[in-house]
This record gives sequence, C-alpha cells and structure tokens, in this order.
Amino acid sequence: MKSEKLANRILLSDLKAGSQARISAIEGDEAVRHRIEEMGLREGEFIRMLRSEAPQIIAIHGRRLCIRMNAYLQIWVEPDHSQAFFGESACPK
Amino acid sequence: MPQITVAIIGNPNTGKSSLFNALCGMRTRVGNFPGVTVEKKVGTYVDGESTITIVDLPGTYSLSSRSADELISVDVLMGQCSDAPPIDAIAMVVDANHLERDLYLFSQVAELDKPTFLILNMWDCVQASGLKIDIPKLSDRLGIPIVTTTANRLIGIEDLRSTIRSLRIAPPVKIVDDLFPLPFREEVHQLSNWINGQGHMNRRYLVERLLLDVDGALETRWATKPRLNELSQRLQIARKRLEVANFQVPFIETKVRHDWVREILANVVGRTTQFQSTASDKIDRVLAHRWWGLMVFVAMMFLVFQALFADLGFVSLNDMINAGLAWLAGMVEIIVPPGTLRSLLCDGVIAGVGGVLTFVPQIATLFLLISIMEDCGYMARVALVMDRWMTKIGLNGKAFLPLMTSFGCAVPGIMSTRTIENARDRLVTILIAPLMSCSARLPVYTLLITAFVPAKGLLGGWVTLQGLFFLFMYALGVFVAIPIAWLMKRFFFPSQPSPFVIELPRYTWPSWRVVAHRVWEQVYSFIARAGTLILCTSVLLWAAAYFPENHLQEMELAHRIDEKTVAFEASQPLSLDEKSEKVLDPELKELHAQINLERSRLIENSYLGRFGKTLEPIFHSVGWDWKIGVGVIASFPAREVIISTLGTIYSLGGDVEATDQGLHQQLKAATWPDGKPVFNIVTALSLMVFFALCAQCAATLMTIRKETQTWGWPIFTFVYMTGLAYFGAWLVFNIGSRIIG
Repeated sequence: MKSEKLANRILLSDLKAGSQARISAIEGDEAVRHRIEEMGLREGEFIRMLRSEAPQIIAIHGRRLCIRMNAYLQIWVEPDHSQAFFGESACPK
Repeated sequence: MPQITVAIIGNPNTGKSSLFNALCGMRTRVGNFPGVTVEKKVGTYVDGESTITIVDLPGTYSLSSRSADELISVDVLMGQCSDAPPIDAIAMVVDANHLERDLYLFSQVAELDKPTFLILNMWDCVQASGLKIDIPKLSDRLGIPIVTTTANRLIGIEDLRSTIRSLRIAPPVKIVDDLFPLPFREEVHQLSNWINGQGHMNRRYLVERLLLDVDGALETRWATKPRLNELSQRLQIARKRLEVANFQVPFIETKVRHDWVREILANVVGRTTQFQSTASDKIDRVLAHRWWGLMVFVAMMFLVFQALFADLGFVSLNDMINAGLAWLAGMVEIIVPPGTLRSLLCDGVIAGVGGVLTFVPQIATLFLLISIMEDCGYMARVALVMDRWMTKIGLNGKAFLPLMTSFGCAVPGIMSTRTIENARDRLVTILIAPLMSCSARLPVYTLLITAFVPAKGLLGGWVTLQGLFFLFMYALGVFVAIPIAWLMKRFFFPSQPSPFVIELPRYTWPSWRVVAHRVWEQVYSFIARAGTLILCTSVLLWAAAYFPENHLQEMELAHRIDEKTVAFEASQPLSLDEKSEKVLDPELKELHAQINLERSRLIENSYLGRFGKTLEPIFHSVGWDWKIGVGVIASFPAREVIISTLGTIYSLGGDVEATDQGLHQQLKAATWPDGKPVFNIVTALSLMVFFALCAQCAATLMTIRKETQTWGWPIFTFVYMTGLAYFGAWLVFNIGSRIIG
C-alpha cells in the first residue's frame, strides 16, 4: 500500500497550474516542517496550484501561500483528478 | 479607578493594528521589550470609570518558545515579563474568513488559563462572501464570548469595548481540556513534578513547550537554573520515549491542535466546495508575476522618490519652516544683545536643531508611502517577486522586507528580521540592513541635491534630474549590499538559502488610521531626536567652535550692523525685497565684509577649527575642507546631525548675508582659502556617498548588539561600513575630479 502511494506522489513544484492535489508528505528540516505545519500546510490537506513557477503560489482553505522548496523542505502531493473536494471560504472582494 | 489590562494576540494579517488603533487612537507608546528586539506597543483608553490598557503583541502563527523573540509573547501573557503589566485578559484576534488557520494559535492561548475572548475580525468580508458561521454554537463550544468586528471601518468596536468591560467579572475559564494523548500528558506530568521537586514553580503550558520546542529558548533559559542542569537530558529521554510510542515531537503538537480545530469547527462553518478565484488572484497575475511584478515594483520605487522631490507643496512647506526659523532668529536678535547667549541660541540651537526640522515633510511623505504599501498587503508580493533575486545572494525573499523597512529606519528594520527563521540568513540581513538609505540620510541628500544638482526637468518635465540623483543615492546602498551579502554568505555563513514560505494576504484598501498613526510615530521620533541627541551635539559643537577666542570685536561689529540696519531701514520706504536693498548701502556692505573676515578668523582659531585643521589631510583626499570634516565626525552618533553641525559651523563662521537664506545658500558660498568654491557636484556626491555607506548611527549599532548578543558584530558593522564609505567617497572624488577636470 505504501509503495502504491509513493508511486503516485509528485513534488509540489511538478503540479500544473490550475490542478488540485492532496498533500501526501512533507519532508525536510524538523524546525522548518514544524513552522509550516503551524501555518496549516500539512499532510492530508487539499491544495490548488495557482502558479507553478518558483516560488509557487497555492490556494489552501481560501488562503494563498507562496512557497519555494529546497533541500530543507520538500512537499509531496498526490494529484486529485476528481477535483471534487475543495474547502473554500474566500472573500470575493 | 479600576484598571484592566488586555493583551491582543493574533496571526499576521488579521487586522490587529487596525483594532489596536480603533481602541486606543493616538494614546499609545511604542517601545522595546527588554533584552530582545521585539516592539512593545501599549495603548490606553478610558471607558466610563475604568482605564483599559491594551498590550499589542507581535503577530505570530504560534505561541512557541523556539527563539527568545517568540518567548517574549509567552512571558507577557503569563505575567512573567517584568516590563509589561500583568495581563487580566487575552483578546484573540482572528480573520473570520480563515478560522481554520487562526484557531490553531487560539488552542495554545486557551491553555494559558486566562480569561480569553475571541474577536472575529474582517466580518464584512464574511457577510459579503455569504460564508455561514454559527457564532452562538462556536461561542458555546469554546465557552467564551465572541465579538465580530470590521476594524478598518470601525464596525463592532463598541461591542468590543463592552465585552472588555464585562470581562472584569468573568472568572478564568477552562477552554481546552488536555488536548494531548495520555503518554504525552504523563511525560508533562513527570517533568513538572521533577521541576517542582527541584524547587521551581512551573506551569503546564511551559512544560509542554519545553518538551515540544527542541533546543528552544525556554530550554536554554531553564537549563541554567539551579539544580536543573539535568533538564536537557531528561527532555531528550522523554522525547525519545514519545517517539517510540509513535508520538513524534514536535509533530504531535500540530496534529492534535489541527484535529481539535477541525472538531470545534465541525458544523460551525459552512463551506463552499468549489475553488473561487478572487480579485486578489487577478491582481497577483500582474503584481506577483516574475517580470511584470518586478517592473511594477521598480516603477513604484521610482515614483516614491520622485514624489519626495516633486512640487507637491512640500517645497513651500519647507520654505515655511525655514521662514519660521528665520523669524525666530530675528526675535532672538531683538531680545538678546549680541554676545555668547545670542550666539548659542541663534548659531547653536536654531541653526542646528531647526535645520533638521525642515526635513519633516519629506520624512512624513516617505513613511506615508511605505505605510500604504505595507497596509494594503503589497509587501508580501514584494518578498515574492524579490525571492528569485535574493536567492542569488544566498538569502530568501523574506529578507527583503526588513531591508525595505530599513529605508525608513534600520532600527525597526533589524527588529523585523525576526520573521526570518534561519539564524544565519537573519544575521546577514542584520549586517546589510544599515546600508539601506534611511530617513536620517534623507536630509543630507535633500540638502546637497537641492543645492548642487540643477532643478532640471527631463522627458517633458515628468522626471526631475534631482529626483534621479535621489533614486541613485537610494539605489547605491542596495547595489553595495548585494556583493557584501554574497561575500558574507559565502565565507562567514556558508549555507543554502532557506526555504521560503509566506502568506499572501488579500489586498485591502489601506486603513488611513493605521497609516496616519505609523507616520506620526516616525515623525514624532524624528522630532524627539532633534530635541535631545541633536540638540546636545549642536550645543557641544557650538561651544567647540565658539571658544576659546575673544569675540569682542565681532560683537562690536554686530552692534554697528544692527544700528546701521535700523537707521537704514528707517530712512528707506518699506520694500518687499529688503535684502537686495541692504546690500546697496555701501557702508553696511563694508561692515558685512569686515564681520565675515572676523568670523572666519574666530572659527579657524577655535578648538574645533584647530582640531579640524589637524585632520584636514584626511578630509582633503575625499575633497572636503576641515569644516565638512568636523561636521562628519560630529555626526557619527546620528547622521542627521550633519545638518545641524554644518548649520552651526556655517552660521558661526559663515557669510552673514547667506545666513537668512538657508543652509544650502551658505554651502554654495563656502570657499577654500584661495577663493575656489568648496562645493561642486563632485564634492557633494563624495559627501553623499560617504553618508550612504557609513555606519553613523549609535541606535542601529546598539540594536545590532542587542540582537546578536555580542559586541563583535556591531564593531564589525561599524568598521566595514566606515571603511567602505571612505573608500567610496575617495573613489567618487578622484574619478569625478578627473572627469570635471
């Protein structure tokens, strides 16, 4: 089961703009990961890629985060082709 | 009168400053928490019988203790910061649109066992988007009062005040029961017992933090307490045990807290299931674009510096301040007879301190424009656009924001480096921050550029030559900082640029209250400096330039000029252009020439003159005479002092006719002994380059000392910047002189 999951996952930076995915793993430096998880970016969350060139812009729960990964931080995602679920609560203004 | 103290805490971009402003208005004090470089904002307001004190804590995603700067918020909230009043209640501000994110911090705050309430800010957005939030249910689940506000439009502020009023009687509430799984709680319990056994009081939240924040500031602090030297070892063993039990520190924390938030919000917040593109996303397609974004940013900076020089009424405002000062000096001359006191007041205080004050309009404009960019959410985009370029010098985009702040003042700039997580990146940013041209350099640039750069319009008057020079001076600090940062990153602190994660807030219209308040704070601190530090150096410098010579002859000449002028003016019909008529009287003209000669003899033989003459060779190779040289030396405590020192030196030793026409006329009139003018564009540039690069600011160096906890880094900063400044000035003078010929 684990290998199946691994086969499916790609780096966040390889996700195309406009597509959605589920975060499957966050790897890298412990302190960096702790901070990022505090900001709400963690395994299991759904995100949508808004801009795929580095630094990437993603939407998560109606917020916009800007991320550039490197050796201290890698975010792995599983693309979500159904695009069914997306928790949104964005201000229209 | 009853007193109540409320601390405001919240995530970044939740409108905390707007709320603080709406509650306290202008009645706020900004300071520093002791030992760390974290801004302390305290405000008060009177509500009926009681005085309410509001302590505004820095915006944060987490109440952790990893660094000393983060720990200060925990200390304040727990009443362990000697410098802050004990907190009676905590007001937690959240962006109502992002409850999921913001309640994470709330789950930590709630563990502190203080009366707490929740402020759902930006409520207008919630209403406009049709997002459903069941507030009674949420309030019921959390067991605390909830207020909804739209702080930037002052909606809900009265509700907020009445909630704070009624908090006095509310007992401490227990909001969060133990969130953590049993094994974790047991470890906390054991540790707590052991610490108690060693004779130290402790609170549960602090023990949790000890366990969660590996090698954090709290651990360092506690490990040095008596009988706690085993602490780190015990923590390590406890963390290991938890890991074996599949509760890995620190990730156990984020998991249990996020799970708790999800549980609390279940059936409270209605969600739409589709992604919604927002207006901010559309704007970001341009402003956050790799190239367009960069171009917009450069264009904005260009406009900012043009605005400082454009004829938007500041020039006449400057003239008005100048006229006011001339009037004041005139009054002194009427009341006080010629002598030491008159000289102290006119040449020392008015010419010195007054000169600095004429630059208040420009400083206010600069801060106005920077504050607007900050408040509307644009700064995060600047960090994003610059990240690409910052990685090339080994830093990340976040490091650009303290540098932007340093354009106003390096002290808050250095303070704001706390947003940079990586300690090495942070140090490099601190060391280059003083190279950014701060508002104290603005008077120097303004004075020299208006005096020596022709006021010529380019491209049909849309761009001014003076504005371009101004932009060049500001760009210089940036361009020098690039190789310096690169060298430091490469040789002193070799490490990869840290990863970059930043939240992009929605664009909003700036709140004019917040902007006005920030501008006022800066202008006030500038004026306060003029009244204290600059006044002191002005008076000291005046004394050095006045004594030990005998001023009798000068006084007598001044007397005769006064009498003659009065007699002359009485004999003439009143005219608008008095100054040109004065010159027409041959006897008066002769007296002026005599007094000017006497004055330059006096200043050259004063203590200051003798000192300056000794050092003249050093100044000579960068094109300055001894007067500029001593002015520069006197302005090492604070660079804007140069205006007052030059004011005093030229007022004492300068041409009396030019005195009334402001400092830049006096600079133009200054000559070498052989009669050649001291200043031309090359000297002015060499002086400006020196000021752009030199570390002439005691406050900045003290902030670096506080931040790095060593004297080594401030000394290093001082040496490298001063060396660079002298070299830069030398280069400009030698190349420039050759070009001009």
